[in-house]
Amino acid sequence: MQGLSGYAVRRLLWVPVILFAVSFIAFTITRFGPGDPVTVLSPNYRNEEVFERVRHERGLDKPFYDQYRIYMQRLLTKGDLGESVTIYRGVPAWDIIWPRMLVSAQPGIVALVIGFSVGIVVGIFAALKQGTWMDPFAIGSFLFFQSIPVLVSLPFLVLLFVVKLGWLPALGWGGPRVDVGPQDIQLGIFSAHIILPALALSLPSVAGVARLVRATTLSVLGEDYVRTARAKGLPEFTVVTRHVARNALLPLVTVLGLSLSTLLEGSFFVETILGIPGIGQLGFQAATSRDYDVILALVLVLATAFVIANIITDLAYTLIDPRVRFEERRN
Amino acid sequence: MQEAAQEITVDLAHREGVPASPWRVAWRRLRGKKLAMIALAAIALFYVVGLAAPAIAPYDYRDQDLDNTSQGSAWAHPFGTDRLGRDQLSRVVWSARTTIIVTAATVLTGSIALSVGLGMISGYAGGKVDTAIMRTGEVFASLPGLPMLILINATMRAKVVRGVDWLESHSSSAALRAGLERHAGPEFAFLVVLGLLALAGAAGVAAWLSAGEGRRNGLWLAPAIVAALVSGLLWAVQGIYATTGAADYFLIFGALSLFFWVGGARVIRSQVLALRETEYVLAARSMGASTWRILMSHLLPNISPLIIVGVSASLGAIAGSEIALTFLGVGVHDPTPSFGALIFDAAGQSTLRNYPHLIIFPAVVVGALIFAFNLLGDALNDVFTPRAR
Repeated sequence: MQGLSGYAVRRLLWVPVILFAVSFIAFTITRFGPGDPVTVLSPNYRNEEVFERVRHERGLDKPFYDQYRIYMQRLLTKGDLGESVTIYRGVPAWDIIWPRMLVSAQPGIVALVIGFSVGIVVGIFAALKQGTWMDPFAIGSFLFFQSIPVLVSLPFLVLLFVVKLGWLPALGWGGPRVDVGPQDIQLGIFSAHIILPALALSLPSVAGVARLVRATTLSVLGEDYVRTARAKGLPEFTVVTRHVARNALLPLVTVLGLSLSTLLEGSFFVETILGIPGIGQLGFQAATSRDYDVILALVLVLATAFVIANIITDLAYTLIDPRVRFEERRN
Repeated sequence: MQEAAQEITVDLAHREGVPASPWRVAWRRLRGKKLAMIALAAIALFYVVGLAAPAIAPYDYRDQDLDNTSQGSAWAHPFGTDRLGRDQLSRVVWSARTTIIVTAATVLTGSIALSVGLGMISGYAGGKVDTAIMRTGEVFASLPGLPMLILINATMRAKVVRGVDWLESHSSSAALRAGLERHAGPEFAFLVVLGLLALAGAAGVAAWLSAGEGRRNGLWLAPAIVAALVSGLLWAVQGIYATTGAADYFLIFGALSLFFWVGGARVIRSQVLALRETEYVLAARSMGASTWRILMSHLLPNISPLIIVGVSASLGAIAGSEIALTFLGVGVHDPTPSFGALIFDAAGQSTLRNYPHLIIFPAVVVGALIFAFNLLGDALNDVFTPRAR
């Protein structure tokens, strides 16, 4: 374990370096954008003298590395991620982002639960039926759903469940309101609005989970203790749930990090098409209305989440499978 | 019985004469997979239709039939028309062309030039060069992909459009720097200079590598070839698309390449690390083969299956990314057709309710294409790395 904790410390020390590089790249890109925040702020009224004064007040006339230094100073000392210029003028970016993260997390968590539970059942089923037609059929049909991008599958789901059958509510987001400080959010998880986004987000992740579970289950099925369990006359159901599943499901921890990024990318399309006020819709709005500070803040927040999720995944990987040598992975 | 015996003799004769090359073996294995061959045929059809779009599409993608807007399937418009009376079938055919250009350009630069080049240099050189390349890759890999792509495409577009406009009006390269500064702003010129510096740096690494061998050789050619390829591609794109969307194509494939090289470079690096210690490389080195020769004629053939598997796996993802970016409004811009724009136009709630035919055709084509890419990628993976089964 000595080596592992050393590895964990080295990886954690690497985090600020990566985040620093990410912030520099993202910041540089935003400063190259057409029109600075001042001209975006006032698209119709153009007075160069006023613009110059506001630029000077906000330090926008300084070279961009000075601006970056000031931005980082404010971020590190005050936790200030800048403020929105166009979407919610004057509101701190963080106050816009985090209520929306709470909204996005709801379909995300439900999709994760659906994707993993269906994937586990399909994977174990396929492994038990290895050699019959049901194995390739079960895996193949979900591979199809994995290949279909969310922005292709979702319109069909809307067409079917909303337009033709009329089972689900049309656009938007609902549920009881909760006050979380800067603004109210709605708990769509308690309403029918959760179904479509959760379904669309979970479809692509089932195949990945199912394939991994199938592979691990197959290797566990060949173990001596499974033969022993069967030989002493345990019912097949008990063998599968107690002896096989327990050992076959451990490696699933490693897919969690990957699922996070898939879910996030999917949420951009789901929230744009369905009109859910979450983080994906915010990114879309911020990009189209040139709210650079909000995009920058969004990128930084998401990058932090990604880096931490990746490290947890890597550590989980080495903990679960001691054969993975962390020394090798470091290089 | 007799026939079977004959076949065996023929097979033996074949084996005695010319040993089957690894490529032939791989192709034979691939041909045995029916699903993969169907996928390959579908992809081939898609490419032929896309490349021959001007000849195949019944209308231009901008042509409007204002008497028949938002119309369903009819003789003149088999897949209907959109809100502006543009023929949906023609828009889909032209969109295929957009997808092909962006995928091909991204694969050439991101999946082949950058990932193979950097992966091989990183694996073979080792030490500080290796650390620098892999750490850079780690930074790119930890950037959240989609938000970063949105950020790049949303902010850089104006510069690239001006740059391409300028390229179109000036063919002389003498005034390149000054012209860039005047027309595209100092930031774009800065980026160009930065790019040139990066190329020079790569050339420097190459020169350092070859100096380590104690002999001058042609490794410096590698960055030069990459630069020539990229600029040639730029000129080709500019020639074909003088006014419609060259800047968009350039921007999208540039941004995508930035993010698609890391995974491939890691795989190739680890393979080169292993191959570097093999006896045949040692033998080649002891016989005085140059670094360039070892990389090109001993290592490259051995990692080419990996390259093919990597490329086939990334094709679907790249096509999907272009469509996704256009859907979000930061990819290809109107009037240049793209599947992303077609789906966005058709996916609105009221459009879905009133004109459901508009979504079906483009969505089915996109779904089938990406599914075909994934099936082929899976099959190629099985063919080239049988151990993975």
